[in-house]
Amino acid sequence: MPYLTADGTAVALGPWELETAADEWRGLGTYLPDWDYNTTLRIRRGARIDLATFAAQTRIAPGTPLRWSLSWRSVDTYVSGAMPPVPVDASDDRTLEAELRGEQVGGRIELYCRVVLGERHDGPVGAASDPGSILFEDRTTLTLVGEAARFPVAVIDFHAAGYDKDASFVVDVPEDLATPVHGGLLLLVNERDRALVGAIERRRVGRDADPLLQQLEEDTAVAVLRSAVERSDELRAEQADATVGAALRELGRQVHGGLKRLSALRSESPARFHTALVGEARRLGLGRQLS
Amino acid sequence: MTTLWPHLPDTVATEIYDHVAGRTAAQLDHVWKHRHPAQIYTATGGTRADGRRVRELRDVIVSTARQHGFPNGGTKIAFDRELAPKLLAEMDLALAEASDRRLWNFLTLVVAPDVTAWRWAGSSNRERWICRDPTRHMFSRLWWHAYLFTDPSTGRIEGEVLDRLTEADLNQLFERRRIAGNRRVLRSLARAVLDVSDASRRPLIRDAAKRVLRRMAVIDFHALTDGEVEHEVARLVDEASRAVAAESP
Repeated sequence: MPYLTADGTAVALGPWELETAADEWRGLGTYLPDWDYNTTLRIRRGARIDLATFAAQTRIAPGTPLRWSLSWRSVDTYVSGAMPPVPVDASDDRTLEAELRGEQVGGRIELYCRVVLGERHDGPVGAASDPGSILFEDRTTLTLVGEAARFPVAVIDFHAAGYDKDASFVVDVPEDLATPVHGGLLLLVNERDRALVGAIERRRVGRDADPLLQQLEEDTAVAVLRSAVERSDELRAEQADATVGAALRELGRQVHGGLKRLSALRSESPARFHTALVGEARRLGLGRQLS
Repeated sequence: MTTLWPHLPDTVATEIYDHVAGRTAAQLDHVWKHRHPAQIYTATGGTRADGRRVRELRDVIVSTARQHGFPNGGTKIAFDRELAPKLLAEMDLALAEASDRRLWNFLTLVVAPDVTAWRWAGSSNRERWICRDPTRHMFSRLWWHAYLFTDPSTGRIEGEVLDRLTEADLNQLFERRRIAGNRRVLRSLARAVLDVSDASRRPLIRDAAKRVLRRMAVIDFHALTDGEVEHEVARLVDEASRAVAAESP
């Protein structure tokens, strides 16, 4: 049976905070670039319920046991976890805390903060009755991916791997477009191209950008765009957010005339198609820019 | 500290698959390797598995397979059930790492192509080799079975439940990813279904899973005690059982 729920006038939540050192906290934000599997995140937020408003909105009798529930779910794997639920008490103004261990989360996760019914409730029509009924919910999305894992770059022996030994790099676009986009696209660099490998290493340690890297960026963008055009028939609106398919579709939306124009050029004129890919990549801000 | 296993890029995986597809375990006897020139690792977050660890993992896979008839016929389902907890224990994976399809491609195509060919002899299903859906891949599905049937509070795998479920039952359960992702709900559902029926469970699981998913939209199962989850799921399976019986001719 449908039942009544509460809104933000009954439940006030503070922003999520992240512990950065012993009892030092900062805003959590939505993206943690320094995260890896060894990172345990301690997060918290303030929470307050106006019980009178809550009861009026949900028709739950005052004094009925309620629970705070903090849980998370991985968008990629659907694996979920939770902190033990906490009873709501009469003067409820508390801090909710959670610990997310690196080996149990990752990629994009959804954090849920809920108030649920604590036990069976026989109330008026429209009031929830079953334990666990969700009476209020707040959802926050958090991306936990290290910078290096967002678009991984790996240096390998091209000849031994079966690639042309004189090529510099290849972009590995996964066959399965439902693959999570973070880490899904992979740039493999030929270890024989010492100049390029050196430029990538220098950028990792924060030195100046290199013209070789500008070219690599441009060529990579062209390769990804080309893949989007070649697989445009497979790109469908229902592909989930944060998948390779969704990223290619979004890329297609950003180019002038969409992927349809590029597909038409591909069959009409390979030369014009190639220049269109380069031009679109540059207009997206990737690679060399003509003044 | 978790373990980072080598990953095989998709383009390379596809190329190797074209060479191994359709070949027998005997034909792939000497093809396996403990490393591949195109292998890569997740950049940070654990200890890289070196060649020795990879060989040890292969030894576990091969010795388990031998106990079940490899490289000839044998008892494939029993092999699956026995290998699943061993993979979970040996691989020491972070969840995010376990969801990376390239890791599983490395295992089937580089480390154990002969065992994969034996396990899936007669099957032309590419997904057993190249991981698209983690619930279908030769090794990925076993790791996930063991992980999701582990009680996090005790670290114990519910092997007796897993043993009684057929491959079709497991597919049905794992296809409902919202259910499979909540380990308490998954284990409760499996137990309840086994309690109700030992015969064909397909219609029962389908109906019960629909009911559980509908409940998950309004009930926060994480906020319930173990007993409450058990009770609620058993109630839904009972409803499903009666509905399926009423529809039967």
